[in-house]
Amino acid sequence: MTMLLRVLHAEALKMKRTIALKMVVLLPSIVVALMLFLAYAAPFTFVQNRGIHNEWAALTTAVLRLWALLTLPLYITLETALVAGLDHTENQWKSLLTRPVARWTFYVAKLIVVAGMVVASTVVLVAGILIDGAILPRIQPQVVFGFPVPWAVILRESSLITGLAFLTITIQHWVSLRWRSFPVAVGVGTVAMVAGFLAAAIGRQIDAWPQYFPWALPMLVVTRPSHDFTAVLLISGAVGLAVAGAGCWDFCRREVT
Amino acid sequence: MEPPIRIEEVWKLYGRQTAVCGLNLSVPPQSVYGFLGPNGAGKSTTIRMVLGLQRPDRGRISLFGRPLETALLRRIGSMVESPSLYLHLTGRENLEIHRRLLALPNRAIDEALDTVDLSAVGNRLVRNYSSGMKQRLGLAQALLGDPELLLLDEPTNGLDPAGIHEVRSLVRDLPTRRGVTVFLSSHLLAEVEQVATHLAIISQGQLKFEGTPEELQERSKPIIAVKVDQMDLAEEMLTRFGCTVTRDRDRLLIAPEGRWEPSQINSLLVSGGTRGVPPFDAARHA
Repeated sequence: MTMLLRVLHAEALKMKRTIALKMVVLLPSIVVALMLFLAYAAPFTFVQNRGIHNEWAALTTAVLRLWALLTLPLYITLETALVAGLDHTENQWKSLLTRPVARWTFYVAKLIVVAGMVVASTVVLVAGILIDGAILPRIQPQVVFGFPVPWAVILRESSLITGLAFLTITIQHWVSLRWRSFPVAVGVGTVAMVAGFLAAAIGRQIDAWPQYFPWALPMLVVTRPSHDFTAVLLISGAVGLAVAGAGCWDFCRREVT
Repeated sequence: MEPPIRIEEVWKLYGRQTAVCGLNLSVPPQSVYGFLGPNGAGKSTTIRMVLGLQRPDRGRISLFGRPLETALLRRIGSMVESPSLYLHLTGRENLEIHRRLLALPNRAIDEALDTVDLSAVGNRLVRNYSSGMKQRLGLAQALLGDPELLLLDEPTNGLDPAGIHEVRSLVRDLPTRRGVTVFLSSHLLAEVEQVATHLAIISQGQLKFEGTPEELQERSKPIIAVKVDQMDLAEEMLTRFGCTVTRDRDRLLIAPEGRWEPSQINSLLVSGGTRGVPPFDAARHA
């Protein structure tokens, strides 16, 4: 464990001055800013029923839909590729893997860093929803946000989306470390994201297995909000751990040329 | 004392291509061991196998008398081919990453930067370093943690003459000042023989020579072969003038001492009354 902490400490320093770190705040900020603009431009989109205002739920759903459907898969693809790329360029592995540190710690530390960044981005996203809710009534008087703020709903849905993204994170992490080429990692992630989008759409229509495609899982939270996700979360988490284990085993046995 | 590196019958194949072919060598402790060969000879592959970055297909490699294991890497520092640096970080931050991995005290960074004379630019981003400065920072990384064995692959690449001189002095002094064994690979004999106490030459994956620079010089002296009509007379004359002469069937093989040229040998023999075909250089006779 001490060794893992040392490697994590080193990974944290590598992130300094990188675009990967800036994206933790940048990407969710773009999503909430875009939503703020749309809500300002088309306020009646947020009115669920005349006389019954549920703007918090509407705003949360709109932000999370954009996040889960398009932004999060792309974000995971880019972050895993950038974090792996820090050591692929200049072939840092021939220096790092000659240190008295077990190889698996490098794999796990990078996975923790990426997962941590996704969680941090979710926190920024939630904060952005609240800021949007505070700003919108001031610039668009037709929209009125009631109180109390539905914390439980916002936190539950954003946490579920992040939790269901774990499997995608482990798969992209393996791909990014397995192949040095940045276009390969981004290509795989982009194709998988599009496939996930289609799988979510088809799966929702026919209520069948395509909706459980890894890249489609976070979208379930916004397409089936009242569903119980406990089983899906546990199974996808277990599969994610298995993928992480397999990827780690593959990484540890690879030769460095 | 166990040799820091012992390689026994090691083979490495890439598909059908043999990169290393039955290599045997042993590095004496506290030596500067020059590992020489042309590009593509198998030098870098050998170093990677020693460091555990690649596995040999056959044979055995032992470090300090033991098979390679993670804990042993604490005693080893290395720079394989070009230095591996994070260009978006400063020199000091690059060393800090390795300091954290090695769990060394903070002062280790200052000491490493001092050793390679980069203290003044430690806080500059590495992308703004010259190639010589990057090479020196790579050396500093290798020296972190005071390793007992240092593996350097072409350490003077990209350095100007002053930089080459600095690296040479540093490498030459390491065994005496710090008790470090240096395994130094290069394709430049002239560079390595100025610092090496022992040499090995590899070509097409096979070891061609292992020994001291003096032994290599001895084996590398040109041998002149002459055919003469009066072999006894020629042998006596040549021996009197300081040449080492051996008979090989119908000719004399001459290992001239000093700076005898074939034309001088020829003149000597002719003036002494012998006749025969002009001497010619033989590359080497076993």
